[in-house]
Amino acid sequence: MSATTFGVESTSGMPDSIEFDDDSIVTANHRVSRRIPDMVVGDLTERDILAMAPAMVCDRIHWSTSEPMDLTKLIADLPLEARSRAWSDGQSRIWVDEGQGQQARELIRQWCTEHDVEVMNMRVESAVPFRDVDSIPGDLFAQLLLVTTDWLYPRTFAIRRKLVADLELIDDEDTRSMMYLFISDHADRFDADRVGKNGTLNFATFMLGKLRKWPQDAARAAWGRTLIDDHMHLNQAIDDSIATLHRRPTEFELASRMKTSVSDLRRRELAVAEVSGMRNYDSIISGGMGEDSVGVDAADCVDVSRDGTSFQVDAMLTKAIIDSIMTPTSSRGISPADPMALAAVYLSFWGELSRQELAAELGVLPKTAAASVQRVTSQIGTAGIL
Amino acid sequence: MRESKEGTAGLQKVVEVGLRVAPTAACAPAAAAAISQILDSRLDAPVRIVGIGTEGNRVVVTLAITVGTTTDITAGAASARMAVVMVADLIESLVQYDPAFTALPDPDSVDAMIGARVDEEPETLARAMCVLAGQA
Repeated sequence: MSATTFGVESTSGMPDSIEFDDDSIVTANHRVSRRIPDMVVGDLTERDILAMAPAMVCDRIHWSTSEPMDLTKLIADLPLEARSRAWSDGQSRIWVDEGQGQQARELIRQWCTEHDVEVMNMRVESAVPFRDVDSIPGDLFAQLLLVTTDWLYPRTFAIRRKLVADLELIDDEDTRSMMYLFISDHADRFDADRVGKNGTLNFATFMLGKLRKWPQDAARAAWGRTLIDDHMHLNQAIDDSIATLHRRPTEFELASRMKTSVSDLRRRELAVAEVSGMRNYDSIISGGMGEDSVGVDAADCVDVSRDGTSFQVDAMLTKAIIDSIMTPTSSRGISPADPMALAAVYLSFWGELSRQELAAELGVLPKTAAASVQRVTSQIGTAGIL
Repeated sequence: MRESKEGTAGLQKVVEVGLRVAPTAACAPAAAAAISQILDSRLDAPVRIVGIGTEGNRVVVTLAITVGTTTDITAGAASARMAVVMVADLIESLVQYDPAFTALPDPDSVDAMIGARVDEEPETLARAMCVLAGQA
């Protein structure tokens, strides 16, 4: 490829045109960057492989079932041409030629009724991109996914950090396989013929763009779109206010920035806080331990406020905490007098910081901060203090 | 709860924990003596009195103990570990007066103002606690 000339708007303060080497490109943000290479499997490039399953426009019917459903028999019984491909979310999906979506839905519904299959939330998406990757011979497609994952994985550290930080039950070691599945799920939507100002889009570039929204989408799937959006907008408004006011905004200022009322702001904050409480559920607050515990289990006749603030109970709890912090846990290599545990427990329960705030305060991952708190509370629970 | 400290790497966040000592009015003089003795024996220790007041029939003295900068804490530095040991010693020494972790008082509160004054002149601790014990 010869040297390329890119036109750049003069209003950006840059020259009218710049010449770059072969691999250099100008991004949408007017930054000079490197072109992401095409993926290669053996002697075949990604274009050769994907050409075996050309992009089509189809109607998609998707639905949920209470139990996993084998679609092979259903497709064989359908009087129209249909294709299927498994996505990692476990939903059933069938693609038919464009314009046949509604008819296919009725046929599928009828088939499911006849075969006593309970379907939920069956819906049709019209004119969606699809690639019949099953028609790619051998394991070429799987190899392409693997090569793409291998290339993207080390280059998406920040995305993986955010995913692990935002979502419970996801650990660092899960992210590689999750990324593979994510790329597999999105392969349908890749349009190899799309041309931008930097030439045609390649597979890894397309996936990198999709991966940038991955943590946000995953959080929305886990906790609900409205709540995650509220959480995001609240944090964004607070960050913006701190940047301009150099202090945390008042409720009124925050509501004004979010273009809502104070009462609505409080309602949203409460909803976010409730879910945050569920995510960061801790035995020290509820008094329960282990997986069987269910929320706050204080009896109705107990005056929780008075009981919780009594001097003796506070002192006993404090003694238990400091004993736990001073106790070496050789099995995990944590030596006695653990300052991290003290700071994490104190800031959580007396500093009233959420797990995210605590992590930001200490400059560690939320999971690290939570682990310190959990270690102490577990030991207190084991000792029967709670 | 937190303040900033100028270090080699610029301003660093410092974590302080609050420890509340709550003797009954009758025990206030003895508690004052015990607290004074500890503070006198640890002149270099990062402990200060940040609040004195009453709560029910108790005189409440709030101590702030600096655990260290966030860097020291996360790295498990020796100074931070020593601070944890000191917190444990304080709890052990003052066990008769129900020592308990507590949030640091609002700097503008009356309790905090009295605490700041006494911290500057520690010899006034006993007098302040006895006066408050009379009100408790």
